[in-house]
Amino acid sequence: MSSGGNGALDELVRRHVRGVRALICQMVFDQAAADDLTQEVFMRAFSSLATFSGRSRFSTWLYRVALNTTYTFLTREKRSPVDYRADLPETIQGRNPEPGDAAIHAELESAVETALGNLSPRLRAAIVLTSLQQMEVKQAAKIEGCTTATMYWRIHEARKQLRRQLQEHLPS
Amino acid sequence: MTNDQDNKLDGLLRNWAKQNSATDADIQALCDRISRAVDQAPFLDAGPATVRTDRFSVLGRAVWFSLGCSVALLFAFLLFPAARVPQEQQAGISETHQEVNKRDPEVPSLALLNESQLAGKGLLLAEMERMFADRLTWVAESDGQVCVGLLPQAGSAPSEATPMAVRVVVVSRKGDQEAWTPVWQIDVVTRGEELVDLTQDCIRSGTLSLWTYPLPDGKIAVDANFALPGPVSLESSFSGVQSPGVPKEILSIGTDRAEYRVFQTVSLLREGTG
Repeated sequence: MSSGGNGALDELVRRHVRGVRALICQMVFDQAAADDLTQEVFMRAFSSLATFSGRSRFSTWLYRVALNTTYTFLTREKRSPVDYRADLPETIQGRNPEPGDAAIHAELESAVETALGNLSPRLRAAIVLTSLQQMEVKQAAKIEGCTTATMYWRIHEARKQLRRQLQEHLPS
Repeated sequence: MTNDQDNKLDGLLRNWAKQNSATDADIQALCDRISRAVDQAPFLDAGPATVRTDRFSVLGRAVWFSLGCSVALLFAFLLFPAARVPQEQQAGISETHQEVNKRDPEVPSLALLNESQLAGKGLLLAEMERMFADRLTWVAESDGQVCVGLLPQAGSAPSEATPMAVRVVVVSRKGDQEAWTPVWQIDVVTRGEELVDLTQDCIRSGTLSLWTYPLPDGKIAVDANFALPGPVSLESSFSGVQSPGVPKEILSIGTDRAEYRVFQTVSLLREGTG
């Protein structure tokens, strides 16, 4: 099959790749791993389209595949995502053009990553889905396969832990 | 915990996420990489071996883009609270089946599918059938959602029957208004003789069952049952013959505060290209 011949699949990639990659990157903090995992997610999804029941939105199903793939990766690697910070490319770490602020921004980014990395994967996913991906709690619960109440609890707990860790960086 | 504290934390997290987001070039490179991987994946060989040209791919993108636009516009309509059905009280209901109303000739046109839309529907059906192999029976778009009807196992969906597009539109106007406004719409693409059964998962707390059959004289036999509950319950059962592409009024209801009309259009799609 020639390149560009899979119109529908290409379109599904184009529509969802940014969101899926962002979700994964915010879970593992590693750009290269996020690229690899994003590709893995789409390949898994396309190869198992036959199992898609059509009862939920395709995006919900795809994000579920993405989170499951990410959880597997984190378990397999058996290391905290904050370990990847040293792997971030210069272009990502050095986007702030003001040299005087560079240290402050680097410290803040490091603090946020450490705080997120200290959350359990489930709590991190809850805050990533709702706060960063800005999904409705109900949709996040569908993706995680839990009740809405459980998702609310996870968000509450994640926020509590993040506020405690990031207290000195939060504006008063 | 206050909303203010949540907002400050969200601001901090989102700023961090923005700093670490991928560039457009990164995303494009990743798209290309995945497309190449998909092209080489063995699982695609199991699907229908239809040869697609680059033109088809470009058109496919256009279809999805127009689909996205139409969904966004539909959302915009639905977000207008003034004419929403649930806000009305149920009273003084009368029901008639009528031909297209000559008094308001512009109203049925709201249920029309133009050539561009029909082309888009045809491509959508072809692409989705290809994606789901022999399992797809219908595709429905409503309330910003796209739902598909899938068979549990491949092989029994009728792929040779005539492809069709059906649009059902609910229009409404309040007592003091002259203009009719669309308040709800659903588009279904399917093939003749296929039974479409839309339940509450896809249609806002309502149901739609549909069966179409192309007749030798060019007209289409339609059997449709439609129910959209709410403070004003819209229900219709229609069995009859329709001319392709001509909207038919299948329900007219008046309350003491508003009027509602439901139109149904069935159009033939050209195979593969709309």
